[in-house]
Amino acid sequence: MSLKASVGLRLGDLELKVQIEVHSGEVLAVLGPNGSGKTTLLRALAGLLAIERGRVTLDGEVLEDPARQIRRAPAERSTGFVFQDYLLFPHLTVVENVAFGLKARGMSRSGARAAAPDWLRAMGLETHANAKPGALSGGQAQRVALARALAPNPRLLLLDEPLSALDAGTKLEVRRELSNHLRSFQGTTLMVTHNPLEAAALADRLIVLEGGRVIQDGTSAEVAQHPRSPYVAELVGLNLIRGRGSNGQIVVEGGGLLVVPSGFEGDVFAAIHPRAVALHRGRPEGSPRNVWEGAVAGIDLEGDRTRVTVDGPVRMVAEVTTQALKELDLVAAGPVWVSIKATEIQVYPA
Amino acid sequence: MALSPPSLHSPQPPPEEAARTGGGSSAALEKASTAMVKLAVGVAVAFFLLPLLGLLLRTPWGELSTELASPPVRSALWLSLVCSLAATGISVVFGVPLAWALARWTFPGRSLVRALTTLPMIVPPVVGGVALLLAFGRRGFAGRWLDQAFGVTLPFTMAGAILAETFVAMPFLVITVEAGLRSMNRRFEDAAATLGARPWVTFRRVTLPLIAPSLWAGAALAWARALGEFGATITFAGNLPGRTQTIPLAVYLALETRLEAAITLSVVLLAVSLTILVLLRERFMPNL
Repeated sequence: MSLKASVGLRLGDLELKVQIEVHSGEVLAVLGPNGSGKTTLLRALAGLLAIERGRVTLDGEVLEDPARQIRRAPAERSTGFVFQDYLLFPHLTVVENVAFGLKARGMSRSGARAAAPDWLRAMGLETHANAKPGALSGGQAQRVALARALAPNPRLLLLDEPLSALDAGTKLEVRRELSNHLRSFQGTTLMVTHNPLEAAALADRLIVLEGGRVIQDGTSAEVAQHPRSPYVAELVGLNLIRGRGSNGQIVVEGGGLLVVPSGFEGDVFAAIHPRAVALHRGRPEGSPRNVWEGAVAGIDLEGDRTRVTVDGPVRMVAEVTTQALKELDLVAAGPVWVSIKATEIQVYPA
Repeated sequence: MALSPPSLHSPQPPPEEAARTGGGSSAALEKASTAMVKLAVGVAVAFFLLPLLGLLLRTPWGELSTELASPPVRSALWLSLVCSLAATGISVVFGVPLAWALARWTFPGRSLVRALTTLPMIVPPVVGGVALLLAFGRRGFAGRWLDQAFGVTLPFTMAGAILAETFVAMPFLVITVEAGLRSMNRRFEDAAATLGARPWVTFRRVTLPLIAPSLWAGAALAWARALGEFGATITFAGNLPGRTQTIPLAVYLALETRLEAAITLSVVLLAVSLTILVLLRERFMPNL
């Protein structure tokens, strides 16, 4: 019981070519920058966009196969879709919104009227049953959207940035509720997000989409430790360097040399946590193997920590304490020395 | 109908602007242009108000009830209401699908069809009436066929009056509804589809309610146009009391004989249209 999809389509500048497999009860997060094709993928799976190549099967049933001219209309797929802006029908009340799918899928008017309130209770919305969507807060609207999508008991649940429209205050609470609902949902779930924290909190596994292709998949811990693209590295806050490894050294793409633990040959990634990057005003003494001179290119304050970007043979982000920032007087001009211990560099095949 | 006058007071010019143009003369200029706008507004309002006033001042209020009770006035009023409402109904039944096709389908000649649809809005109604006569008249190509195949004659009948009114009224409905369909968020239809709604259910339960304001506005405009229709009706349907003589036609005829009757009929038509328009406006068209 699972979703198996191979989706190939072209939409404007985007060429989407994705293969995924998600099991029942599993939650797959789809992470990626704007324009990477995340929403397009969801729309294709829901049948709102026709695929040109590939095949979509849900629980063994073929939903779409252009080669065999099979295409189930959106209404004929057992799909629940939570849209980024929810798209609650503004002319219907909350309970009518939730009952909409039940009625459309053939339940009688009275049956739908009876079943919808159960969903509202489950979402803690029973007091808002007769409100219009316009009168709801963001968190309430999100819960109505989820209830409306889940009420017809779909086998595939598609969530498009379900938390992005919420303010920071309600986001955490709604995320916890959403996590509970997803855990009790028996079907297959795909959730689009661009927030790695959301992916880690809600999903069992994630794929990273860039330019219409899956460039990485795995658990969020795997992805966070071994990013395979500058986008992911920046999301999880790591320095990512790509190059060719040989004899304990990496020849960095675009110039520069990195000394690393030996044993990695060929095309590799090197991930370095900004905490492992030390800054000095003079040439440092001692054991660090990677030492070079650079210039401060930018300083970002993040709470009590500061991230300093240093341009040099290899561009590097270092994390220093506010105390160190002051002591080194990094705001002033002048050369800065970067040092990284070889043992702090994680190397993995590209 | 509540007139909401535009806000006429002008804000103070920003300091830098005042400095650039030299404070005193700028303020004087501002004042003068405000006065000119006020003058134009006054002229426009007077232009609409004076004819109405002329009508109301000459209305024989004392005889209004007896005039209203007279059979010719009542039959003209009745005919006007029936024909204009029928024309509005036909416009909705055929105009909404046409608006849908123009808004949602891409087909060769779509802009031609749209131009054709709006033609009755720019063609003088008399010309429209002549064209109708040539097509649907007893000797017109469509009219002859209707006569021979079904025994239906349209010219100089009430059905003909309705046809003439529909011809001039339907374009208003089509363009208003098409604009509504174009401006609505179509992703609501996607949402309905993912919830299992077939196209017809989606249209009935999502699209139609969402474009309801456009539909009502379009129907009101079409109805108002049909109610006031004169040229096409008199050309195609004639001026037969009790059959095709609607109020505008009766007013025109009465002008020649009894001015009081013409005034009474005009006031009645004015009152009826105004009442319905205000009711519709309150309910559906807060922006119209």
